[in-house]
Amino acid sequence: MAAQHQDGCERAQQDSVPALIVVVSAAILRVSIALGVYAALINLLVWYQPIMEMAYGHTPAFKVTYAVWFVVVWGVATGALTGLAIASMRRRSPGRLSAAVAFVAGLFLTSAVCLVLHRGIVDEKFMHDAVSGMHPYAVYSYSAMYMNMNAIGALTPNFIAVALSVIYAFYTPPSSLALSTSDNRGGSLRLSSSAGKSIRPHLTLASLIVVAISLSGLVAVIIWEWRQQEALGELHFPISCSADSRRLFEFATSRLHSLNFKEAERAYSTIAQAEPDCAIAYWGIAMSRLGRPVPGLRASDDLDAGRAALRTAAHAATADPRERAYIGALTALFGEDDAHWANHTVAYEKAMAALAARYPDDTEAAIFYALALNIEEPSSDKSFEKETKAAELLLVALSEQPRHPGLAHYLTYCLHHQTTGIADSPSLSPYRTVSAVQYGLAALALIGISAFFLAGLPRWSWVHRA
Amino acid sequence: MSTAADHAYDLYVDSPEERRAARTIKVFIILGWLSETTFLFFGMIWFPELHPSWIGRLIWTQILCGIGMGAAVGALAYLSASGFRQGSRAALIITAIMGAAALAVCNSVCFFVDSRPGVDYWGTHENPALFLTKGYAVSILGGIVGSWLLNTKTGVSVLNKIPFLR
Repeated sequence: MAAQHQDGCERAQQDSVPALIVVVSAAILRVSIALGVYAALINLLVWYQPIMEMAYGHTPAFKVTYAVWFVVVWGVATGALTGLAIASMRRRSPGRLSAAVAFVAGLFLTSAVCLVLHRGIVDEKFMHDAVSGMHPYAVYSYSAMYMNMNAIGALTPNFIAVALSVIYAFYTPPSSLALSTSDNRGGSLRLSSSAGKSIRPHLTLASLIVVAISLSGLVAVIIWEWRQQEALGELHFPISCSADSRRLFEFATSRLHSLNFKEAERAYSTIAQAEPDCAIAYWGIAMSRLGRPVPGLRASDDLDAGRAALRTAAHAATADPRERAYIGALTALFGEDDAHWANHTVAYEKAMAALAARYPDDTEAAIFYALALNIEEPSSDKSFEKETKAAELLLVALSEQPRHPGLAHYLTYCLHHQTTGIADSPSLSPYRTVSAVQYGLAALALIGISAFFLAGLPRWSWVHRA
Repeated sequence: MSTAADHAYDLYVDSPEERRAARTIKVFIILGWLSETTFLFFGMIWFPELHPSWIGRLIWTQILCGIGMGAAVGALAYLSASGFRQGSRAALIITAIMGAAALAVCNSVCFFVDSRPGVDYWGTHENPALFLTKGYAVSILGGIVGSWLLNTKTGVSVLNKIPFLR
């Protein structure tokens, strides 16, 4: 009886050979690509800001195209290369050594593609070296962008995708499963509860729910973050350039106040490119190079870049007297050499004081005057006159503009500085908290997909399906 | 003693469908790599002042644009044409269209990213027409050549002579 059953099963298996070919031909590649796309989607949701930076300033339609392109390169390409490596090794031998080699090859190919793209996203110098010598910042030195995209964190979803792809390709159900009928669908790896019922379907469903919740959470975080950014844009800094430049200038200045200096510089540069005669745009570039409003000499390459921008500003035609006053004050700070920085900060403070007095309706002038007081080297005066003055200016500005992007943390700095004398400013970017949430959700999404994959593996194994 | 599962595995080894998937990806990797290398070569000749670093440029063109883009385009071409028999007119047309379209999308993305004021990594500000023309021309050519190699008797016989693609 048993022999007849065995014989019948073997015949059934041979009859299903065409089906087997169809299933196997596409399965490994499709699973690898699907997992790669999933990894790319998680990365896109977690590292949304740095990844989408390259599409900054473009239309929503282009941003969607760019996001799809990223998923194709980060997900489809790596999945295809992994599938290729796995299929190649699988053809040679279905053993564990082949699986290990396929895993290593998959990791290598995935890392190679992802790391190059990663450097392209986060490192301007690499992009400059890699693809052109005509970057508009050519006179400046380069540093890694202020983009928070950890390479190991970004590659982890892909590594898990490679591991699951290898498991899928090299997992062979026990022969009892391959030859089984409906009485042994779970095989020897069947997970059973004490009552004898398989918990595998429940695990599959639960992991799918986890995946859905974590991905929805990541999308929700992006929407929340976007709304936060919109809310942080409330400032008033009229300039004499075109309407488009004015709108972008206010955005850039809001990024400057949010301590996102690289993004601010990029936006100011965009204005300068589109409207080269817009003098105040070059002031913005130099301000971005100044960095945090704390005492201390800046790096020489930042100072050189700022000086170059201010020299261009001096020759730019479009500027009213107020804008010229901003540029003149900052020129006094940057000076022509790195010596006597303390004297430069005093000159800057005086120039900003004059500017704020001359234009009392300009809230930004008062704010930048307060920051000029902070930049000045701390004196031995324990009455903290300058710090108090700065705090007063900022408090008045805050009462007028409670949703200003920079006032809250500038004030925190001023008050903190008065009591402790520590010359450092807090970085109150809301993204730090968000990133922790995003990391957690991404980890949950990876655990969910792994559990879903492994729970369903015996059921969708190609031998079993055939 | 061999089991039925082992027997099935033997068939899998020689499955033409399996070779088709790997072949499609490999063909487009080679085509992508060849076009990027050509761009690099002529770029070095025509715009020698634009290339301060050979290593960075080689890494970008050979790994990301060559292998990465080629693999992605090959995978998309295979997935879109896998429902049709290899060598059929439908497979020939779909592979060509999908290959050309995917390569053209890559070209467009690069162009629009680069054309933003303040970027200009790839020279689109200086030579926009050249960038678009050569990119789309090679995209169409790549799709047609890739499809011809994969779906015609002559093309397959050419591939059979190449050890890497056999």
